[in-house]
Amino acid sequence: MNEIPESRHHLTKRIFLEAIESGLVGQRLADRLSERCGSDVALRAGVEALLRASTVEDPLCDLVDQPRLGESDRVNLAAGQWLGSYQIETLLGEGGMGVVYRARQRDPIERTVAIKMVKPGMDSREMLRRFQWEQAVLARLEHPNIARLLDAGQADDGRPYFVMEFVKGEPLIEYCNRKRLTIQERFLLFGTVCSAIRFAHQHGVLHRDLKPGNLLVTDDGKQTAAKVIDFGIARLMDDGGERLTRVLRVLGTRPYVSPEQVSGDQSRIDTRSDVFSLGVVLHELIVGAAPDLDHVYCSAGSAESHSDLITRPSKFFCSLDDPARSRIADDRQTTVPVLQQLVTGDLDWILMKAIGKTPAERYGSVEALANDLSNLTAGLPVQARRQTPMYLVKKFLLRHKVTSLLTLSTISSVLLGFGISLYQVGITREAHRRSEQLRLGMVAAQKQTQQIVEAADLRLAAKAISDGDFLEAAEMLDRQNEVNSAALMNRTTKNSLAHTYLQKKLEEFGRSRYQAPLSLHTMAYDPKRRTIMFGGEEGVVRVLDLEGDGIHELPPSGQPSIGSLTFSTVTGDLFAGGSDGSIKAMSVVQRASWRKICEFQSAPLDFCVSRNGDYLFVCDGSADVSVVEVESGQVVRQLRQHEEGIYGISISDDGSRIATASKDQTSVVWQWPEGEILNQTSRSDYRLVDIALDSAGKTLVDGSVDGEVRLVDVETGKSSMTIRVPSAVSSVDISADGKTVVAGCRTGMVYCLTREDFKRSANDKEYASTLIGKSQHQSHDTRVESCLCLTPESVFSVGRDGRLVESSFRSNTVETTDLKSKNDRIAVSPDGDWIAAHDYVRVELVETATGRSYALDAELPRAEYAGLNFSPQGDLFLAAKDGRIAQLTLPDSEVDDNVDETVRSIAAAVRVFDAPVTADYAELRFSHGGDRMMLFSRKDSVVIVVALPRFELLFRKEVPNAYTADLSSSGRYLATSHIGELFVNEVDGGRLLASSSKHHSETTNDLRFSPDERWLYSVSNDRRIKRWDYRSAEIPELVGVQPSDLPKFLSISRDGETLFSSGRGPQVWLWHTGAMQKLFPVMPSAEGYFRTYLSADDSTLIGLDREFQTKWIRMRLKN
Amino acid sequence: MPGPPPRESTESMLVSVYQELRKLAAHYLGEEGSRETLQATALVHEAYLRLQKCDSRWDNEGHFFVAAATSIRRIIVEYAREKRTQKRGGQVNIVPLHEFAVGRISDHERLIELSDCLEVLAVQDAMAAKVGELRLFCGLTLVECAEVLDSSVATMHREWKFARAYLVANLHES
Repeated sequence: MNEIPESRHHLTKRIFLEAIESGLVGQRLADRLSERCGSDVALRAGVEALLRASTVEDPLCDLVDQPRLGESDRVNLAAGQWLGSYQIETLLGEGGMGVVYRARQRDPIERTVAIKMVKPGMDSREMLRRFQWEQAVLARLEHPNIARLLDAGQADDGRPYFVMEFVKGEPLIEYCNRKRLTIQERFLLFGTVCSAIRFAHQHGVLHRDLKPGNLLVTDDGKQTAAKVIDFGIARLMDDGGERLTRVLRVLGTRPYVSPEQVSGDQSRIDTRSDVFSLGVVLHELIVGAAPDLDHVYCSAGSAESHSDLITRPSKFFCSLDDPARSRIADDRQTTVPVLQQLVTGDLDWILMKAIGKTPAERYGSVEALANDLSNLTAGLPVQARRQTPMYLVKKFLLRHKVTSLLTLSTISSVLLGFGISLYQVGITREAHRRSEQLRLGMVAAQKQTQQIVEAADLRLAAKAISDGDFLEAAEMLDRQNEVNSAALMNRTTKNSLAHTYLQKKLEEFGRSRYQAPLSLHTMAYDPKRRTIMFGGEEGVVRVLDLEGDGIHELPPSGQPSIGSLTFSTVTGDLFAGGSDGSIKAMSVVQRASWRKICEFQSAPLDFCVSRNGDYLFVCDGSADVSVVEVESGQVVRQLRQHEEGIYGISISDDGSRIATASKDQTSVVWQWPEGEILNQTSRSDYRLVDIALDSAGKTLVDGSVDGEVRLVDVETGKSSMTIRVPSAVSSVDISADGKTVVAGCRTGMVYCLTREDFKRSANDKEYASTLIGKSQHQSHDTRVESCLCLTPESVFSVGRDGRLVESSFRSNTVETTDLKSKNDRIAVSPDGDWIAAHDYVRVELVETATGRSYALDAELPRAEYAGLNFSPQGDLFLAAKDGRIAQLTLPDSEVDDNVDETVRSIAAAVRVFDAPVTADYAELRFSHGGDRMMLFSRKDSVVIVVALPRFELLFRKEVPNAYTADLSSSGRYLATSHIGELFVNEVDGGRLLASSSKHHSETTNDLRFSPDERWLYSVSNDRRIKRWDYRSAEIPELVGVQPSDLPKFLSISRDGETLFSSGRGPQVWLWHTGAMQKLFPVMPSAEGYFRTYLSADDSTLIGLDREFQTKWIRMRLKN
Repeated sequence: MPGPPPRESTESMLVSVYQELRKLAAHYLGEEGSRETLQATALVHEAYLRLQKCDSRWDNEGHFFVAAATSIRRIIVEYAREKRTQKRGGQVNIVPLHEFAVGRISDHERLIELSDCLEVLAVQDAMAAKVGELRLFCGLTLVECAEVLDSSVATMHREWKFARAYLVANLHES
């Protein structure tokens, strides 16, 4: 290597650079070098070598300068390749975030599209999710000047791509310059851009990445049109909001982004951010270059006014050199003085206002900007200019705040001084009002969008929960929590039922039991398994009471940071290893103070204690286990077998076996007190980081940095079974019975694997591949430091994120019971505590809390039973086929006097009524107050409404071919159907209020009024779920299409926001009524359902499946 | 009770960036085996997002990119060394470099030398070496370098011109 002495290095560099920059060649260069280097031959040789090198091509060093296009052929797609249903035609270009191709779509329609392929490394999953929830919004952007976003997908290598309408165009500025468009023509073109942006804003969509490259001009010779591309993409790619935006600031596209986008303050980005970008583009269109905004970006946080930071466009133009100015003027078919004159004045003001530093300084809307441009063209006063003197007046007033007794005349004179007439102030107000209106329109559109977004978030959260990604699910739900708590939604209850349900489900799967401010390192449970002790960087040991829920601190051990904790089984003493190398002990029972046992040079990585607490087995990073006598604190023995450092150690409950895992890629099992080796495992592929023994010491589990989790039979040391998890294992544990293994990983993921899993995946590749997804929980943000497996339902883990998390891996929230006999009538009590069912002759009650079923001890009419239901007051109404109705008053569930546990029966008081119209009533429904009841008979094609409690007939209607009917919550309206036709009658007076003749193309299966009586929801064999604003007599709206089966039953939450539909399909679907979107399925049942009901308090969803099993789930926690 | 964690030195920051990138690179190239090449810019982005998520220390991207460039260089050289010694037998086919599929560079010897040259240069001329590293191993443009190193584009231009000449001269001689 060529060593250039330090002092000479810079001399060489200076001469070299000077020579290069002088542009001299040949003899003149040689002369220059002679002059500079004099007689120093070595110096000259050095410089010459560098000069030579600077002209030599070098494949390695020049890679960075090669055009990126086409060079990256290994990464890019070739023509003819397929990407989903699109065939790549050619590479169009490459930008900061990805490459763009022209491609051909064949199916379902033949068309040319542009495909934007995102570079690897972006979080494609998140991006596609965003696409999913923005799709509905983006799909509405149908405008001649907006290129539509058509589709999104994921390439085989995982990279996401977006499919857009293909625009054969030229970037706006290049087009204008090439065509030498006049300023006037540029304004016109710019105006169409503004109208497109305005349209999008009205639909609640911001562009966020407006720049000349995203504004294309198509020109087919006859017509010129501007097209805005990439709408919404910026937001899709804006992964994690703030975070990437800041990276983009380094690598991204200044100067078109607004200062608030640069600062990453998402909350401040609104329509005016797009106004800023348009302003910069306009600046470039007019004076030939974008303004110098460096100061603006740098001072994003300061209060400095923009006018001090940005050069006025006129001045900017003036500052350019002569050739540039004449070229710019020439491109605009004008002369330098004319252009200069044009810019100076109103145009200056317009541009300055558009690119104001803060949103408040800018135009309130794109329309206002466009209006000012047309005002300018029409010779009218511009808004930008009018406001500025007002601003100065305001400033003037502020400056003289002390003398706040300014008279009106003073103000007038100030105004007059600035030459403002009241008339002009009026114009300003009008313009201001209009732009304010637009903004409000945008807010309204956003509100609408909000519901769509909420539905999508809920969908994604449900998906994330089923994927085991709880952090993601929590993030989604939290996001909606925030939105909901903001007043925007104007709800009565805070969260929708669907949201509450997911939150509850999430909590069942895993919950954060404690959040420490610093990272947590270790955990141990006491021998009785009643408490878990945990500690970490804070140097505090905390105790979690497993039976209660409380957490308390132990007295400080004085160790700066706690790295490991362990218990002695017999004495119950707790030992703590600190980062200062000390190991201390305390009796938790006696609450004595900590005593120091011993001290090592470095912090012990892991240790365990003998059964009776006599000896500690310490791994201090060396290859040997140091055996410390607790009494003396001395190392009395070394267990020596490993070749490299030991990272983990574990001891069996009886203390006779100790297992160690080492960097040498093996695990060793020792016998204690003999200290002999019982077994050494085979070599793993990578270093082992942790080990655990079951309580009998018969099975060990170890984990490697390569994600290998091994289950080894200690006796033989042989039959090891391996499951590979996708990331480096940082901690392992095995349940006391040796049946369940947990592994915590560096990614924050915790895996729970059973012995059965190990056996099956050894033989069944397919099983192994699906196993991981089913057994994972994203319990932490970052590295899991320690995990403990009590049972599969209760796995604890601590991580660097400072969280103590309890996860459940075998959570089954669907309760089920076998009913004694076959029937298809069930009902749920309003509080969700009881399910009633009958087998035509006997009534059965199921307690949802316990799943126990009870017979009914009551004097019931001897007859075959038909429909049954609970009234809002909790009485059970039971219809007999002979037209008699029994009203049963059940005992209060709080008072168990009437519940006879020995014979499993419940006593109830019975009153029997005769229905005013005798029929076989299959369906009983109540008004919310319980003062009216609807009885519907399909068999006798009649529906009646009676007043309770005396069964006075209020309404009667013959309903041939009806499958269902519903009574509104006030009891004033009744809905019925005739095949696909719907009717709403007024109960009082019987008037037909509304009818909808072609509501469904097939039989209507169920009807439900919304609680506010505004909507009538219906499901039909045409699979459609519709809602109808029956009072305005409009045509019904489609809520959705039931996936994969015919919807038969409907339920609706109390707030009317969540709709449930079930049918013969294997699950019950939830729908978001605001967004009119499908949410997620609940309560799976392989057989499908006969009927499903939601309890009046929203707490319980019940279903009778086609195997005659009653199933139920809790939708929210009971109060 | 310990106070807040002490501010870490540049070297320890480097260590964490290095580990993160190393892990990511291994993840993409290693067991998954799905990718033959890796774009360093993408890698850096991902590492940045990950680190920044759990650590506010990375609020300054400048520091981050400087550390990332050094890390990427180390990773690449490691792979190259590995390839040269063929210890793991063809597990990793491709040396990842910046934007461009450097799979074509079969000359692992030269990659390692390039890295060594940069180290020597760094002793005498930290700025030129930094620019070289950011350019060659992180794929940054001069404008981006200026951003990261908080300097002007003109300066970056000069430093790069020199660094390139220096590297080519020394590479050719060896």
